[in-house]
Amino acid sequence: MTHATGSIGRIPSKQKHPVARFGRRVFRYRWLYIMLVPTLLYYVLFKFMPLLSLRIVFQKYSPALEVLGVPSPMVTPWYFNFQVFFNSKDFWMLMRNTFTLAMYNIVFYFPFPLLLSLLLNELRHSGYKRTLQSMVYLPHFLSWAVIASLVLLVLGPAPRGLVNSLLVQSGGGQIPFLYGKQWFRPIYIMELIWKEAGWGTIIYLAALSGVDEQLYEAAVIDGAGRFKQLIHITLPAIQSTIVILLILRMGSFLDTGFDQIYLMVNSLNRDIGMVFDTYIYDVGILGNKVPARVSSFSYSATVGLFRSVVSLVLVMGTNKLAKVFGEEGMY
Amino acid sequence: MASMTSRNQSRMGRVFDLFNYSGLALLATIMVAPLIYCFVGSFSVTGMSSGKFVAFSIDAYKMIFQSGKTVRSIGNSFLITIVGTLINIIMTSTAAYALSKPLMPGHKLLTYVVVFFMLFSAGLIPDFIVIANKLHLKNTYWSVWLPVAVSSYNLIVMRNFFKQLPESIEESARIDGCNELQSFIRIVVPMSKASIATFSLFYAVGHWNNYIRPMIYLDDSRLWPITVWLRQIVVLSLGGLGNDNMSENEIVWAATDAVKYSTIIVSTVPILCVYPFLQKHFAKGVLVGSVKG
Repeated sequence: MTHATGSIGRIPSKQKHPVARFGRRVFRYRWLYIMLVPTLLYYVLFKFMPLLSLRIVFQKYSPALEVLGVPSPMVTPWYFNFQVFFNSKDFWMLMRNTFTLAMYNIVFYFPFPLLLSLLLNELRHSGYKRTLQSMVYLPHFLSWAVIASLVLLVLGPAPRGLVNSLLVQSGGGQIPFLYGKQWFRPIYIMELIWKEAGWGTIIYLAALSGVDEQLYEAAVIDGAGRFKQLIHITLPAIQSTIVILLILRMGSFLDTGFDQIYLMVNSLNRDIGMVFDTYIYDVGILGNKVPARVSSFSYSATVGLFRSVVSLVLVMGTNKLAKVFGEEGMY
Repeated sequence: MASMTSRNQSRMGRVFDLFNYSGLALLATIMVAPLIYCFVGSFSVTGMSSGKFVAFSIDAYKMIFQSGKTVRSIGNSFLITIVGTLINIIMTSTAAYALSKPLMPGHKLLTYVVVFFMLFSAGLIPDFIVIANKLHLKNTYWSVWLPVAVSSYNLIVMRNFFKQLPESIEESARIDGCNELQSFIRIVVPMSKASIATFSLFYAVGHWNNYIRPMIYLDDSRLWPITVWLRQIVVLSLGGLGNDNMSENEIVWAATDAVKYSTIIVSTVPILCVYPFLQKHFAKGVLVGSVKG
């Protein structure tokens, strides 16, 4: 800096010191920085500060001490919270439940919007197509609170639930849709398909609308039927969209839907329904079933860190894999 | 021979069309059926649980709009949604615009930061410590607005959208003496209406439907949005315990079946009303920029 100011008189302005040049460039874009300020502040407060708070995974966090300005005591050994978590039977319950639901998600839910959009794409009457589209988009706009309520009204126990009321009226027994363990996963995935499958078609339909019509015309001249057109034109055209959506899905592999599952879990299906997100809330915020000798905050933050790291590894792995297979990947 | 196959294919095609047209219609009907069932049930005196429509009545709606808590919670939902979406759009669009200029020093670093936080979050508990214990936002609406003020994913998608806008128009504005902020407001925003409308819709739906965040950060039942209040009504009527101190009367009231049906309808209609207005912008705005990151 001193060099730059000292030499100003002698050197033509074009060859200014790099720092000064950098300063000029920054000044040149000052309005863009001003536009960035609120969002930067957001990232510092709500993204970066929580990262700093993550140090509590090495502590026995005590809100009372923190209020007094005294740092919470460290745990020994430093991995104590992790040890408690990995040795608890909750760890395996959470792994099993979360990964099973996540697999259900990929296997049963993921292909559904694709299939639906391919079928919708075959409709040639555009008014008809648009009407059906508006209908299948609708459930996306409902909150999970509304959907959970609707499910209660339809599948809940008699006399409130429609299906069970009808079963009882016809002399049959009730089916414990909302309490039976065997029903948790099917209902989870059916709710998800119902809510999001229609909405999920948007991105595919947009990609499909971009396919060059001439390709189809040429295929018809060559004698290709509609199935062959699907295999040789349509699917290759949207292949990269499918891959990107799959990567995104893998990135949120462990996002099995906090609201949805929280609203579905009850004391009877807890063993099968609890996933990382609901567990962290249940133990950390509500303070239920906290293991002995740990602080609820530190312990559940440890669970959360584990979950975030697994997520990160999954998304980066998928992205890498996509690149290996010659797709562009996401970043 | 050639004509044979093509006729065969077209017959196959017609059979496929028949199944496709009717099958999709059936599927679409299933998609809307529960809501229609609920809508019909809200006008039946005792709801529809027995599978029969009992007698037409709008009592349930009268009860809802006389109930201070329901009306207040709908008002709260509107407040949360409108202010929250405004904050979202202003912050996301300005930041996305700035990040769309690759010559700005720090552009790369800032983009990396955004992508990193798209892929990694500290988790619920560190968030809670910052929001509740450090910033003391609990039991204020700032706790449902600010922590979700910017979605990293939307920010990246919007940045990509701004990137592909023609540079020349902004250049001419700059020659006329506009700074970046001015040319953003006067030129870029009007050009990007479809995109902004789409993101507003995404954010607004998220705010209106949010359940767990208000559950975590708003203990005071007077601040609750309709989603939390609806859940309270439904759970209470099933004999569960609400975590709010409700009076005897309110519990009896909440247990009325038709009230549940109509509360579901009332909590759904406002967000469905937004949809047609934004739909025309939709097809254009939604995908631009979203495919590549």
